Amino acid sequence: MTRLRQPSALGFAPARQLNGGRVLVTGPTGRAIVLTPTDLVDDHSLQGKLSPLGIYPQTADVEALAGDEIETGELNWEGPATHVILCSSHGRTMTPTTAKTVVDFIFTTPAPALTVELVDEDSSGWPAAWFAVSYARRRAEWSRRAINLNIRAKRPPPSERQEFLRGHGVDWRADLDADQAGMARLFSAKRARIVVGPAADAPRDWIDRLSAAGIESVEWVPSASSAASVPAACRYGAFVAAALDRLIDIHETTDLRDELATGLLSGRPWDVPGTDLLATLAYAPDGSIFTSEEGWKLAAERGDETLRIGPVATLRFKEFPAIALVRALTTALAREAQPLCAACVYRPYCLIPPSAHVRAQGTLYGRLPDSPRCVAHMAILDSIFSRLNDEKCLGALSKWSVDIKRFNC
Amino acid sequence: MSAVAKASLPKSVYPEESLAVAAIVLGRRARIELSAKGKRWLIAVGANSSAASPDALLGEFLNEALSHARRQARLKKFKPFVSIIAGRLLSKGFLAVPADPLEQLEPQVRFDRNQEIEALISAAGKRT
Repeated sequence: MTRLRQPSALGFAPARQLNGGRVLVTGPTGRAIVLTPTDLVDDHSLQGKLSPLGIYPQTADVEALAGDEIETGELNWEGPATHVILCSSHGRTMTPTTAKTVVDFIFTTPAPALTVELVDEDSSGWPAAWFAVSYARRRAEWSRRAINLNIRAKRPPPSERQEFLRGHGVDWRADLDADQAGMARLFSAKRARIVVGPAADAPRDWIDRLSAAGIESVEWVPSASSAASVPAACRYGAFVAAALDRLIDIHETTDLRDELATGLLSGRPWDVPGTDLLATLAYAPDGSIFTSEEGWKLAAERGDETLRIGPVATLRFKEFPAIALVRALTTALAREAQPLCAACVYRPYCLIPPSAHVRAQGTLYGRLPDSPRCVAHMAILDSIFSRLNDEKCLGALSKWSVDIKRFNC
Repeated sequence: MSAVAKASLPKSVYPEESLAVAAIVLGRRARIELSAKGKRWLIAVGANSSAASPDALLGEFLNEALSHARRQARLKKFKPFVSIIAGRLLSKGFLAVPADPLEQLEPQVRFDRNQEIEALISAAGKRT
């Protein structure tokens, strides 16, 4: 399927042509329908089918639509849930004292359940990681708050560290590179984060291997080159779409789920992995708070500190609204304010983290017509919505806790 | 400027603010000259390195300027809606969790916990 360069509109509702002459139409709150060529020629039938989407004011179920909006709107946000502590990254190492300040800060944020992800790229950050795990567990007990801890590693930690991590209920998240053929480094992780670059191949095999290894969730992350240009993003999007297609085919026999696809389909911006500020915050080895891990990478790789919020030692979470970057992000994250997003059929689901725009195009807002991430999200959402009349697809979405009542095919 | 790409743009489509933002986005990659003649802007864009062509930089400049102009128009149209979302997010979304009342009321609890934390930091330093 080729991506339409500009979303086409069917009258007053965003629409997109799918394969076989079918047309996807979405309402303002994410209710969707796939119309067949026959539906499109019968005006009376067409109006009946489109009514539940909420695009005709006179027949809209206002209460239900308001419920959708409250469920998925930013008014329902409860604070960033995922906190990435970069114990060692890009040759820099965090100290245990800085890790304490970071954990203290995390516990001042209001999300009901916190997820703390520790990254120790070269093992030099183990003292900080060890402290963060021990201290976060104690803080969670003292404050009676729910916390999920996981450590991201490219290879299995040494056995004594595994014992400590297991004892403290820390999950391993395998950090892999799809460009490298071998998957031998898959270890007993529950989750995987896989970087997809230009040489990544055999997405369906990846799904089969991840399923066989007992992995429960996978997040496909574009490599720096895949995030920077449209042709490379097309290849990334095609890889993820093919992987998703295979995952839908075999969903009955595996517990594996795709984090990005399910995050997008939830319609909640804070469920899309890596969404700056709403979904995540990242803490650099020197104790700087960044809007996301991607924000930190831009600083570490390019010296671009656009997405640095401030120092964790002196900053308070309640002071965030006074920071110019935070105020700019709240506007950048409003999909309604983006000229082409507003007319896109996927607007209720899609959200592009501003850090992805900064990397590819240099601003928090991006330019949608030539945004690499927009191309990739289109491919991913196309692969799902083009199968919306397939029982396997609906079964998979239901299994991944996606609200399929909104999809009336 | 040596090799440059030039364009003449209608002021009605490209506000000055949008041209300024586009220039900031191109940053040090380009040299940009802006002048005006009647109802049109006259733009000249040159590359600061051989890695990019003036034509490509001009294209990016125009894309960014147009994108900014359309975004501003969209924001103006939807200002009440976006203001509600952004305003609510900024005023209610960043509520800090209150301090632990047990630590506030019982100095001994705070003391014991601080000692435990210090012991953990000390133990962490010995990890390799």
